[in-house]
Amino acid sequence: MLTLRHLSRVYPLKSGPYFALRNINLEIKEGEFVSIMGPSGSGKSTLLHILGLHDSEWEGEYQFADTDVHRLGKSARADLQKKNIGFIFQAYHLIDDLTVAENLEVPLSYRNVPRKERQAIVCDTLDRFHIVGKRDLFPSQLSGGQQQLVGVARALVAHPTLLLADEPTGNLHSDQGHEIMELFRKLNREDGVTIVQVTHSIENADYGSRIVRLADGMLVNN
Amino acid sequence: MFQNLRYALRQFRKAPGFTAVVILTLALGLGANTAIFGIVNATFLRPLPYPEPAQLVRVHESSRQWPKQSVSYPNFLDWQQAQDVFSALAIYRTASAKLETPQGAERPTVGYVSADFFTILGVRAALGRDLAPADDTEGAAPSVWLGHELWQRSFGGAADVVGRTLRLEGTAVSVAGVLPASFRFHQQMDLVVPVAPFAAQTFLKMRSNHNGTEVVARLKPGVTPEIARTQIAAIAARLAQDYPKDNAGISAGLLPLQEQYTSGSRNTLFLLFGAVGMVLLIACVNIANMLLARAGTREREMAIRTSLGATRGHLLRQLLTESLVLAAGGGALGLLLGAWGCELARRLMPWELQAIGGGNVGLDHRVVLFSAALALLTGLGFGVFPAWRLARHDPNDALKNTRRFVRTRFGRLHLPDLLVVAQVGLALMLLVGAGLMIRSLWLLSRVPSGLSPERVLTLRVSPPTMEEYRRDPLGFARYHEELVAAVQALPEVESAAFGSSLPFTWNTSSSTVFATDRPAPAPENQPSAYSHVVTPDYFRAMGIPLRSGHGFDGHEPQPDMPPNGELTEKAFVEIYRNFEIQCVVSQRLAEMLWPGEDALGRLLQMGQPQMNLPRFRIVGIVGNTAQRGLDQEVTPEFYVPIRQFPMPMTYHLVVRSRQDPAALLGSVRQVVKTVAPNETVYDIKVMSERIAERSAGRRFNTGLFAFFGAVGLLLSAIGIYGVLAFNVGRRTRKIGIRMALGARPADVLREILGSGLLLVAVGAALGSLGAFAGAKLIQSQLFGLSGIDAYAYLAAALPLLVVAGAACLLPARRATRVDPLVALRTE
Repeated sequence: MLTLRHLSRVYPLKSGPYFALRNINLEIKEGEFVSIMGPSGSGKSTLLHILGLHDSEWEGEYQFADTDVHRLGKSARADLQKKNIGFIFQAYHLIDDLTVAENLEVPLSYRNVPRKERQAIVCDTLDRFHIVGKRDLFPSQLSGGQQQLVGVARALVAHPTLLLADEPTGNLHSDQGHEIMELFRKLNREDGVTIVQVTHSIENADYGSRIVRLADGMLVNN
Repeated sequence: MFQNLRYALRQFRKAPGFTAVVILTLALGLGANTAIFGIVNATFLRPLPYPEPAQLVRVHESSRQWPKQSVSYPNFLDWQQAQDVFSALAIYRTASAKLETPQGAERPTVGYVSADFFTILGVRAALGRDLAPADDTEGAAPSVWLGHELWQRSFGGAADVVGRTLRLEGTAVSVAGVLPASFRFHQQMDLVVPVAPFAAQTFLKMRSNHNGTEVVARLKPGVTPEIARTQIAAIAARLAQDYPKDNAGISAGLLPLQEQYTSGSRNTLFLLFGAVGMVLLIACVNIANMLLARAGTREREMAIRTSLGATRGHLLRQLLTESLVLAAGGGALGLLLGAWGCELARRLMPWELQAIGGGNVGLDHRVVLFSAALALLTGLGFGVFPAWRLARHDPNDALKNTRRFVRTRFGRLHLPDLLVVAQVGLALMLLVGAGLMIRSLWLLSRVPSGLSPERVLTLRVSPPTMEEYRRDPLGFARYHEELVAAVQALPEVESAAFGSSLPFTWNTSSSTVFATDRPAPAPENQPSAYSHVVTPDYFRAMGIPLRSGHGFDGHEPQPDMPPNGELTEKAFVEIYRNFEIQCVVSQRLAEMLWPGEDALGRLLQMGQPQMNLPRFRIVGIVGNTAQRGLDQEVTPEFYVPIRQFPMPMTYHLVVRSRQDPAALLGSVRQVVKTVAPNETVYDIKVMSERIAERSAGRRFNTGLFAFFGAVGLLLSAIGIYGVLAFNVGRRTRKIGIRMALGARPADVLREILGSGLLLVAVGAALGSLGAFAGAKLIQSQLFGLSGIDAYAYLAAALPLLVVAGAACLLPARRATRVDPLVALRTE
């Protein structure tokens, strides 16, 4: 599904260039559930944001499905991201001023889905994730687990083929973490969603099909 | 769009304090601009209330001394015959006159107009018939057209008023019609009469008389003002050749009627517009700064939206919607403030603006549109940069959950700091402007008026009618002398007198003069002097000091004035052929006619040598007065006794009281009622009030400037406080670390205060330079000083520094209370 060849990410600092990622070669197939692991500062989140097309200042080659991302302009990358990728954050990153339903509606509104259709999709999603009762609550009125559940629902509302998760259970206690991971496994196995997660937890990594290890910006085990 | 609007409203509901401050700030700026635009709209932009107003022009005569002079009636008649550029041409003048109505005698303002006056203005009688050419001929039975208000007030709106006979200045006049309620003219006219039947008795047939008569005309279709100007100047040149005695040095010109009304106030209004523009600019800078500070807290939200697929366009649209919602709120409140400002301006504005339509200041579709457009522009203005900055921000930092505020920098300075510098600079410019104008007023108040206005009451008493005057001209003088003697007999009166050209009023008359013992100057070089016809105690009553010689004692010999005489130039010459009138001149006139010599005992004469007009023997010299206002050059003046020169005018009674002059009014009214039961007392004011009125325009402008300066100062203080408070919040961790490392509160205070005051100092320095450059623009408003005035700059800088210092101190004190443990934990 996606292939990285000789990918590097360098931050130019006053003291000299800082290599956050060096010469990464990685292939992830459709339907895989990959966990990226490594110590702090190893480049896990940087890699995930590059995969999620949030960062465009890298060097090397990145092929997504049949598209050469490295050849795409800014707007084409944004289109590719909108069409294919959903993102889940450790800190949930729900928009505080919007209700649960409105948070789910946001990705659809940026994809020019008509208003009525958006509302129908949001209703389906609320139902699917069993959060219909929370639809008019604001994020501050939800527990951490509930917020992350909304985060997952929001990431999936536009039916992405790739789900990227940056330490999705990092802010949750273990029971809530297990629920989220079970949900990921279900999405991967039953719905065929390709998942790439960054995690520190071996236990969470075991939910996936493969582990990729990073150290000092380099791939040490694939 | 609807969704953006909904989110924007929710944002503001969640931050009511921020929203209220932004909307109020904006409303202040927009309200001030709306009010000033309301004045500009009513006075400059609104077309004159006549059909095809662009064709209306004022035609005037010009001399070396008076570039826009009243038009001599005989010259006007010649213009009418010779021109072919105007479809019609009309002369008019206004004067108060005694009208006997069913309600009693009153003194309305009468418009004396020629036949085409209403045709030119497109006004038709609402009742009765229109003014016809036959009405405006010498010897025609005088007819009158009543103004709507007078008709309602004095005739109860009776429809049968047409055809009734009234007495105007003792002359029987027949009511021919009533003017529509919509009739407005820049000079008040309570009723209108044709001018020709009254031309002789008001001296209008003298070609040399330019006594308040103005000409309005309508250009023929296709004729430009330039073409008309050329022709009227050519006609005037021919008349100067044909009548060299009266017309030498007199030319003619014209200007659009709208311009004539507005030219005097244009500079002032556009200056005020500049001032309110600066207030709005300060407000916008303030709001932009607040939005920038707020943007720091919204980077995370924008980053999330970007990660969810929002393009920069989506974010810009959302953020600009928020700005525009704020602008709409500020605009709506600004409109209310503007309406209130218009109402206030209508009450306070000086008469110059009132006369050109200022009375109609208010909100109309144009003002509302202006206000809406300005709100939209300002919304975009203050919103674009923060929105652009947020929309282009790299979302990675925020998504990685770091709490770093990324701020736009220029070298070592952050953008909000630069905006504070700009704000302080703009506020200082406004304050220096206000300071300069306040200093001007102060300097003006120290200019000697040449008289002692304290405890002086002034008023007018209606004189006997023209008919009675013609019957007995010396009786006219006697009437005034008896009246003043009765007033002087009041125990609380120190002195009292009548005078015809009261200083600081517009009720003045002037005449060209020359010294009989000197070669007569060319007519165009002949000086003009204000003439005063007075009763004996005038100088004492007004407090005008006698420099040499003596004043009038009431025993001056009188000329033979035949009863029922015609008031022609010829009659004057005959009466005064062998009679010298005693005269007191001002020092200025004495120096002008006999420089370096003693003027006492010399003769001066009115008009030009060949006209043989009255001669005046100088018996005294008095100090100069600021006849035309404290800010005007001293003009030459001469005074003659009413018993020798009883001119049929309305005189001011001047009463110097031993106590509060206003308290004297009841006694004076009683005296008038006893001595002249048919006459009325009007135009009552204490003298100091008249002096103050002449500088009312200046005070109005100064007051507005000072107000706008104060608003600018307040907004700047809010801006400085906001930025420093935000900086302190941003640097809490850094301050915590410093304090943990041993910094004392005083060190922190010094650092925060120092950084704030540095911005203020830079802003003040730049503002001073701006004020110096801007002072040239307000030079016309200044008196006795230039753009560099240390007091004004000091007076402006001091409140700015105090207020700015206080605005810096509050966040600085807060910074000293930072608990290192708490600060470090929060990060």
